[in-house]
Formats: sequence, structure tokens, C-alpha cells
Amino acid sequence: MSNETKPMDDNLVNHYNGTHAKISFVEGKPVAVVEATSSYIPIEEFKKIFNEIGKLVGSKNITKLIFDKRKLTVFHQPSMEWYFTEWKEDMWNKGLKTHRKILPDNKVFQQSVKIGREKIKEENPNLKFNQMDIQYSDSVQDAIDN
Amino acid sequence: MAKSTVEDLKLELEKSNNEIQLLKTKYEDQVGPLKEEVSYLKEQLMAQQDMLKMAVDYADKLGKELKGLKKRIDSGNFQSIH
Repeated sequence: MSNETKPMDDNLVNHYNGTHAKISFVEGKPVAVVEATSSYIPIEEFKKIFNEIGKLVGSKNITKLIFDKRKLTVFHQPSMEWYFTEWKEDMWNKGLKTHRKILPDNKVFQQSVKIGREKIKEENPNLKFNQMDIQYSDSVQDAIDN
Repeated sequence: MAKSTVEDLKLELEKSNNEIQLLKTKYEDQVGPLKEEVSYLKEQLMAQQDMLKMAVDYADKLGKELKGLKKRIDSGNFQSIH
């Protein structure tokens, strides 16, 4: 799943460094990247980071978000519930409708994300995230391009 | 003489109190981040436990569905969608 050996064509501009994740945006494109920098992001920090992205979405008219989860080993369902049911809904209204995810090379993690997302989908069939363009990518460059 | 001793004692007491405050602040400064780290680790362990539980529950559910399917096939009461 992880593949970042090729040099990137686009230039990433650092925007915010959190304790467990960092945010950057792609120069000249309406794309933001959030990268997990530790194996787990506590919910408090997770909300802080995504609220920060929310500000960036508003100020830079971001339409695509790449979430690089390759460093993560633990998945937190309550954080994901907030992310899907509140944050993504707000962002949809601000124009952020395209999401790309880069998953770690960890089968349990990948499966848990899938199960967790299905659970949220089942419980919230009317949410906007069901209409979003969500895909998995192998690298940041691949996520920017596709 | 007695007045001077009292003043000296007051001064010593004040010094001691200041030292206690300084130590208290140092302690808080050192223990604060540690407490935060422990709380993060606790949250991470709980999340890990939940994640594994979710995977096991899902595997159980799949196992039951497979058993149900096998029963239907064995009983001949199974219609393929193809």
C-alpha cells in the first residue's frame, strides 16, 4: 500500500505541525494533505488537527483532502465517527468533496477501517459522505493526481 | 535582639516557602507532560482493544454467515444467483 520512492512532482507547503500529525497544502492546487506522524492520534489532538484543516479549507478553497495514515497502527472508532458524521458534513458544505486515503501496510488496520466505516454508514444512511468521492491511493503524488 | 531573631525567622520562613513553591512548580512541569503521555497511552491501548474486538466480532459474524450458507447448501435449499 505504501509507495513513496519516486520524487514528487508537486511541492508541499507546510501549514501546521501538531504533536501527532502535520498539515500541508499543495502549491498551486486546491489540495491539502494531513499526515499522521505517530502510531496513534488521540481524539483531542485529532479534532484539533481537523478543525485546523477546516480553517484551511475555508481560506484556500480546498476541494481535495489527502489523509496519509501510513504511520498509524491503531484506529479509534469514536474519532472516526466524529470525522464522518460531523467534520466531513461541515466540509461538504464548504466544498471539500474529494477524499484520498493512504493506508498503512497492516491488514488488521485496513480491515478495521473498513468495518468501522461500514458501521457508520449503516447507522447514518443519509449523511453526505455517502455521496463523496472517496478513494484509496498508494502515495501522496498518486493521491494528488487521481 | 529578640526582634532581630523574629525578623530572621520570618525571612527564613519566607525563603522556605519560596523554595517549596519553586519545587512545586518544577514538579508540576515535569509531571504534567508525563501525565498527558500516560493518558494518551491509555487511550491508545483502549482503542487498540476496541479495534481488535471489532475485527474479532466481524470474523465471528462472517463465520456464522458461512455456517448458515453451508447448512442451506447441505439441505438443498439454496438457489444460486447465477
